[in-house]
Amino acid sequence: MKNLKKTLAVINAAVIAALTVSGCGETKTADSGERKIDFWIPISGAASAVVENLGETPVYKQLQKDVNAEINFIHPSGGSLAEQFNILMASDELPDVIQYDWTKYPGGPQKAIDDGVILDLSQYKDKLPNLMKYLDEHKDIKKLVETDLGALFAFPFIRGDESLCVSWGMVVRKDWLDELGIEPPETIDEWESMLTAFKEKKGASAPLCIGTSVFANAQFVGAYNTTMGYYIDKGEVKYGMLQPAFKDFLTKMHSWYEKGLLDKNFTLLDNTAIDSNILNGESGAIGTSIGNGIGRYMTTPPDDKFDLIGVKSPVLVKGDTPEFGYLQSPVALQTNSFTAISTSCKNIDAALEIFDYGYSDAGHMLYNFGIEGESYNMIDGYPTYTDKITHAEDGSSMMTMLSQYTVAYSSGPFVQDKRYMEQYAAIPQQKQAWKTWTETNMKEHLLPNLYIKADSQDKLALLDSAINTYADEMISKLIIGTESLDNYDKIIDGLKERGIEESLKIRNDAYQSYLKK
Amino acid sequence: MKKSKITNIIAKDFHINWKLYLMVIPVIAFYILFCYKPMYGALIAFKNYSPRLGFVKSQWVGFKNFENFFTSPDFGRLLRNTLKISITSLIVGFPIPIILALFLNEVKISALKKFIQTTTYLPHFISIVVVCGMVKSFVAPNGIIGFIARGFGADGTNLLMNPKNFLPIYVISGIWQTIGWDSIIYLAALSAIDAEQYEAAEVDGAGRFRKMFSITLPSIQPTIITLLILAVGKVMNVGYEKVMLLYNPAIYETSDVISTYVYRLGFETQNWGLSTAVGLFNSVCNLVLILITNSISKKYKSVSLW
Amino acid sequence: MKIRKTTGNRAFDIINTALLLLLTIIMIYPLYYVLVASFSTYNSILKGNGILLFPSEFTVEAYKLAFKNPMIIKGFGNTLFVVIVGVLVNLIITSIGAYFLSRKNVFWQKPIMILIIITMYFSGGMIPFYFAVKDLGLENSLFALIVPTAINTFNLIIMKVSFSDIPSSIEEAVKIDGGGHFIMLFKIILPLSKATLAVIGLYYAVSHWNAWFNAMLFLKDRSKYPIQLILREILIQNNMNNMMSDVGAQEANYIGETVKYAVIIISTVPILVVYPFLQKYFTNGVMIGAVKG
Repeated sequence: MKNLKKTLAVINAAVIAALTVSGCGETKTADSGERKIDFWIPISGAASAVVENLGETPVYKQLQKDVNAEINFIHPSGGSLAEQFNILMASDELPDVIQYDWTKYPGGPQKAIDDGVILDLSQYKDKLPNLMKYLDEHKDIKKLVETDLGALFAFPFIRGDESLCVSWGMVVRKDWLDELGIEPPETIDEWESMLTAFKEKKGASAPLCIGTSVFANAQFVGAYNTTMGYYIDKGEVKYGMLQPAFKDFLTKMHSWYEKGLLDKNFTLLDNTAIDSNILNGESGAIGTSIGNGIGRYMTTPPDDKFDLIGVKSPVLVKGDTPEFGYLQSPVALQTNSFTAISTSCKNIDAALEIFDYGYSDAGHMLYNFGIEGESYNMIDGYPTYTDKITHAEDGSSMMTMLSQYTVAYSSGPFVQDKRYMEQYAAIPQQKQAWKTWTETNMKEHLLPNLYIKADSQDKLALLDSAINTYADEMISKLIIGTESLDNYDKIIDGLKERGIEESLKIRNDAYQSYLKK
Repeated sequence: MKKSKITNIIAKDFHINWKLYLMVIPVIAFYILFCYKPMYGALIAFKNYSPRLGFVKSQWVGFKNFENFFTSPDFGRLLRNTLKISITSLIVGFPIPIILALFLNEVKISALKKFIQTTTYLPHFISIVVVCGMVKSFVAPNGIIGFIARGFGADGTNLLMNPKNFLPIYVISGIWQTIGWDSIIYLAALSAIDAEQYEAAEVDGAGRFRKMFSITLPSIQPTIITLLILAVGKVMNVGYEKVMLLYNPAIYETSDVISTYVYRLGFETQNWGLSTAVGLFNSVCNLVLILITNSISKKYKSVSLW
Repeated sequence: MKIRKTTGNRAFDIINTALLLLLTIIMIYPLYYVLVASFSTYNSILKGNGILLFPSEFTVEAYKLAFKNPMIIKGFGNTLFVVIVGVLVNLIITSIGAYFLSRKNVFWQKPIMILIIITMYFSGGMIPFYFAVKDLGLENSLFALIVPTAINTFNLIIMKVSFSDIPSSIEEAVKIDGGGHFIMLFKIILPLSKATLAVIGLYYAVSHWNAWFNAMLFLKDRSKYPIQLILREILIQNNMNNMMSDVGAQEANYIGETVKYAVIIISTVPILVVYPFLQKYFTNGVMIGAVKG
């Protein structure tokens, strides 16, 4: 009897042990020390407005539970990240894990690995089952996150759907269109007649309120089959201002400026000025984003009639699909995009496991939707945010609540889910604009993330700074007319003097090695 | 022979003043620890600095960083704008706090004086980000200044769209923000003036302006000259923050300065070598300027910083 | 003759006061604008084009949002500590330095002065400075905001100039009585320099109040942040993101314009309250009275 009891106890213990090991893997790495990670991560404005430390947010509390680890969040202060990142790099002791836009490391991410700052994660493939599975299934994404030497420098933030790469575009006052009986414009000519009508019939003082950044996002200039800055055309990197069509675009903009269709203060616009113009009826068309733009305007409209509609990137010939438009890379270069493990990491296995979790099914749900039953419920297989998120009791905005329960609103080591955006952009105007803006061929022209060799990168930084400043200045002056379009060739010479050709060559070389990946 | 004389002097001086030297140790320690010890960092002006390699291991590049700066196509413009902005600020902005202090000193009702004084230094506390936001909206066509300018025939654009307007807007908003604050030091100096001097002058029948010029100004002259020398030594420093908040591509030709150039360069990737080189260039210029002004002031007014 | 002078005098007073009051309005208006705007709705501010006399569509929403930030109150506490302890340290160390530099017939005085002035122009930059402070074990401590800024060379020079003005006859008297340097400084010179002390103290206090850079460098714990670093985070986020045209980051970092105004008011009011108490020291002829007395 006594023996039987003993045997049962032994079997019992064995079963429990077996379950623990095979089941959750919670005690798997117990031998490699404490599962404690120092995590250097810039905190977003939305989150820092309500918490002191990301460790206090439900989403990261849950993450620590899920991966059975303790994460110590270290936040640099917002606004001066570059300085703080550089000091961090100069320190002898790095935090275990550092989340930052690692493409900003002097010389690029491959240099960061070569300098012995961060680990090449591709050496730990077998310990990253979820991330590797995703990258193997998505070769195009893999090309964007691997350096030319095939190193994986970080856990990347990935936009899980093409539509997530579009969150910005042109909007027009829909109530004005309806009143004047105008269809949403497609071509440059239609735009011109619409803007003229806004000016003459609605008394808009600055019918088209856009800054030069709008051109950088390929609006209007895209109609001329080119864009501001660098882009891909037929397997080659090109620079917009060097194309003859760019002059046609500038000629058009100059005439709009002269006619008073384009905001006279277009180089000086900030958010407040744009808000003021669109809300006070001084402008009928602006470039804006889905949440911070349309969402904000439609929740607090200046009057009952006020309505907005998203329109396609303008073209020259009616019916054409816009060749150019706003598009971000699926692996966007943002502050929180890349989570890298430093060479000083004390428990590499734990760090690998913690951040690989974001690419697992459970991790995907946590990062995108938070905690089931609390921040979301599965309704017909669709993770639906609860009222706690969408209509917070204390009146907090949805963005604030998302920043507590998810990471999807920002970026991090996971794949962003389209269903987050579908619910964030809940108003019909937002949905319509989002859908309209995605209809471009920009995918063919978007310059991919290039990993430029360290020595060229330093040179490129110098060139870029001079070229960008010069180009911005000249484009502004040509549109205003303080610089004559007759001098366009001279301006091209100025670009050459500042090294545009060398810059193009460096980028083309990098693009060729990208294609070979 | 000569050497031993100096040693003698030093020994004698130490014998007399050793208590004084003992007392000043914390001050010396401060300068050594926080100013001289980190000064090796200026060496990266001559290096291709990589934070990971550190100061010692980063590669020497000689004067390449300086060369990159001096040969940049915009160098002439950057230097010209920097000097234009700072010298105008100095010439216009330096006397104004003195004038304010002088006239404030003439207000005899104490409560009123305090009230005016308190309000004039208010702008000093508003963040530059906010000040620039307000400046932009004031000089917009519908803003209060833009509205007045339209009365004088300005077209309906923001005044900051015209390259000619940048300098006055920058300088005037600067004066507005610092006038009250800068006048505090003069007011303190004014408070030290002997009241008997005024009484004597009044007996002689001197008017308000005469008293101002013959008593008040000469009394605070050392303060004025000291501050002037220090101000001249800052001529190359035009900070990037305010310029960046006010300028735009249409007016780069009058508003782009050395510090904004360095900032933009650093924004693309962190080129510490170059920005240190530019900083060093500015420092040398400033030091030369302060040496010249100091020796002029020593010669003619016998006021010297050292 | 005498009558003419008094009318002239009175006219001067009236014109002078009127002009100064006009100046006052120009000076006060922007802060008044911020105050009024912080109590208005955003849309209504936009209609005003930068001209506001009264809160339009009065609301305290911005303050509610601002105080949701857990750091506002904590930041105040941290700043208060830094200002009080910092100014004490500043005044003691700076006056010792100024005392030394204002002595006559001291051999090393001039070389040291020149070495000090050099530091106004040459520095090693941010990174070596960071290590210098870190090596002293000050990282992540509020003392990192006090000790490395114990002396501002500009203030030191002003104080030195003011100490040099004190008649040497007074000092001779102390020496004859056998007083040491500390007695001379703290019992004689400082009481004679109340006006200067008040100004320099104010300068130091305000620079501590406005400082954010060292806090950004040295503090790792957000709970130790001073109020200005919080304010800066709030003010700068929208602006910097405009430059990057990073739409995603803009979404996550958007902060309402009126909240910014509310935070400015919250962070400015305390120092405005303190100022009048300091003011009395440098509007009266404190020093002269003492000398003559």
